[in-house]
Amino acid sequence: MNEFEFLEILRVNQGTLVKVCTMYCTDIEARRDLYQEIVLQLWRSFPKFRKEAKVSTWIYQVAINTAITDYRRSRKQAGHVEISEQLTQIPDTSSSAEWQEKVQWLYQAVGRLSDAEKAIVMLYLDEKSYDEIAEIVGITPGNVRVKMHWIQEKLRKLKTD
Amino acid sequence: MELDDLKNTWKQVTEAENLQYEVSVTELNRIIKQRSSSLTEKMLRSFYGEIGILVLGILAMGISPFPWYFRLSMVSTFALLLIPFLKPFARFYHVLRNFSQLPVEDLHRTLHRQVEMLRQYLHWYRRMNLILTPIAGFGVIWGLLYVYWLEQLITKLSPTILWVTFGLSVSYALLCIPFVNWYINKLYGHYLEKLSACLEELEEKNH
Repeated sequence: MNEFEFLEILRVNQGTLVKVCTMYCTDIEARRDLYQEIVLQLWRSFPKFRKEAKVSTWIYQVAINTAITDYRRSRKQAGHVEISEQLTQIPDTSSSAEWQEKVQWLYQAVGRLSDAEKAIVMLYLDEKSYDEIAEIVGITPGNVRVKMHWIQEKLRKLKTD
Repeated sequence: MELDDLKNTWKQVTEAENLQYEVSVTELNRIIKQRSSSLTEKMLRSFYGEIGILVLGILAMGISPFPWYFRLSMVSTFALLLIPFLKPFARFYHVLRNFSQLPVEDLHRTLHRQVEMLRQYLHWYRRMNLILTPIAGFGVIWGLLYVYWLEQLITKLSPTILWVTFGLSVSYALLCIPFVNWYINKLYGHYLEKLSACLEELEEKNH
């Protein structure tokens, strides 16, 4: 197996792994554990990865499957959200208080979603098409559309509460 | 629009998080060598552990301070009792070994396979524990009685002593049922529920 080829794929797609870890884990240590577990599972499935398939689809499938079926994560109670240092120093056009509020809202919204909804929302936020979301999650594009509608309703309700 | 608001924040948050992660060849080698936290691998490790304990138990019976005929009868009885479990053991092993080779597939199919595998595993695991735990307890209780009698801590095996020992054995066997159910549920019950709920949610058509 070519370690360098794998590392290059990982480097290019690292953002995807980080997104999955941020979406599914509330504390920094858990995010790191999940990140390593995803890398391990990707490495193991790398020989079976068909080159004709899209790399991003393969990475999303393995990462989401690992995050949702992770036994260690399921044993831990969801605690308070730990925000890493980098997040407090984000250069943003809005003020620090506004930024904090935005981050808070993001985690609050994510915390209200089920594991399946998190996967769908994450792919949507990453600007994947309904067809791609359907392929990764394993449901029909029509069903993705219906679920997105319900998620939007849920988030709207959360904002008005 | 809530999702559009989220999109921008999400992008910035994940870009900031991204700065903390970097995998080098050395780091990759370390990750590859470490244990996986996936349930199937945990089960496989428990499986090897239980086989090890079983072998140690049989060895301990063989070298215990009892007369040779008693040891021989203990080991052969236990070996005979194990025969019906050889097939389920092999089946377990097959299911776990095959599952741990993670294929590339969508979330729905992964969840479906994992839930099916877990239900199958728990079915056999519960059944085996419900049989083997009382047997092991019976062995310990009657073995202790035998040692006490051998060491003359009990001078006579009166009907009362035999009935008390028998009562203890039966009580132990009966207590094993709720204990095994509780233990298995504590270990995997919540996890199975969580995966099943996620699978059901994906299979819902209109919600």
